[in-house]
Amino acid sequence: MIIQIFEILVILLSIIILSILQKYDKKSMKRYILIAIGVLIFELFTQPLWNNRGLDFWAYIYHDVSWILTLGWSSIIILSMFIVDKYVRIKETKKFFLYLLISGIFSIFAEALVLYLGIRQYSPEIYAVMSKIYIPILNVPIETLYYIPVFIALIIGFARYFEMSFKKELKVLDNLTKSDKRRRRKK
Amino acid sequence: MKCNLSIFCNSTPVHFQISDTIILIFEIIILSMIFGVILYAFLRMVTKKRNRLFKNFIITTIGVILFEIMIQPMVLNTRWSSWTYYYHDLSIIVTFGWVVIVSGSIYIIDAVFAHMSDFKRFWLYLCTIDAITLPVEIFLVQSGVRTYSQSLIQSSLGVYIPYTNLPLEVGFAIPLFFALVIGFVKYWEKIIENG
Repeated sequence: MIIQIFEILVILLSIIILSILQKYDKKSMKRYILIAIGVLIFELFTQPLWNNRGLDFWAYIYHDVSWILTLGWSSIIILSMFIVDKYVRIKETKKFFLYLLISGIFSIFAEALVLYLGIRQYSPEIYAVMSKIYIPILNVPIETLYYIPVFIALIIGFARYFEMSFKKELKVLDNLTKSDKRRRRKK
Repeated sequence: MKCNLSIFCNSTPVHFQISDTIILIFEIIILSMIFGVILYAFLRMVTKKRNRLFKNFIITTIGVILFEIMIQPMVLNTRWSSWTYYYHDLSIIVTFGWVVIVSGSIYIIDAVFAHMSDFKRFWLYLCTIDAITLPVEIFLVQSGVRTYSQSLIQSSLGVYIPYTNLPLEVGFAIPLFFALVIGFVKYWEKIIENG
């Protein structure tokens, strides 16, 4: 029952977060899709490292890769990026680290929750290299302080690169249409 | 999973026997390439005041190392000289091998296909890097220098790249791995360039 509540809660929260963000920024959906692609790519090829168990059968895409968790991570990342973009006016390089910090904090709590619910387990190879030191209260392995920021850094880099590329392409297209208009006016 | 095409599940893997001397030669080649790239990038920076290659090399190194540490439990790098290991079984030869392939491919494609859009170039980076890395990965695995973890083997579908011990999924995982690394590298390149 708790698992079902978790699944529904993740879906609902993702919908709510996305619809709120969409009101502030029309490009949020595009950003969300890019982040979700990045998260899914990451989950697919690191899949032997983690075991996501206990979710309902419809929550899985491939082996134990779950789209519910993909939604959860994507929502955390996009929400953190939104908070930084909305309230902080700093250089992109500095923003990147702020994205990491905020989404890292959210993610550690999320990781603690999935560990507590028994959804997330680690492979024996991960246990073998772990220091067996846990963050107090949250009971999350200390290594997550490394793994989560690296995971998020790659996803944000991937999503922001494509966002910038599309923006640039749109600008080029926009310039082309402007010059076309000028040519037409001259004619 | 039921395997219908015998070439993907019953073909006898081809193994390469390589001696320690060949491994040492391989290590020297990779190290020479690294020094070559660093020297070339440094000379360009000093003589032509262009440090793009150097920056690209540093960013790629950071991206690859971060990622290698993360996926380290999935892959075991053995048989390299002891001095090449820097963290558990991560070897500077493998790490810098990937770095040279990634940064070299990005640099060449950016120079030759500068007129193309970022999106199209991304696919070119990916195809070029995969075309180089997949045979290298196959060679390393078949020669026993690189082995996969038990979890990775168990989670595979039991279908292999013909005549190898590489699960077919590895053929898909390599492009996925590099898609994220390229995104990370190009993003940092862009934000550093734009200040």
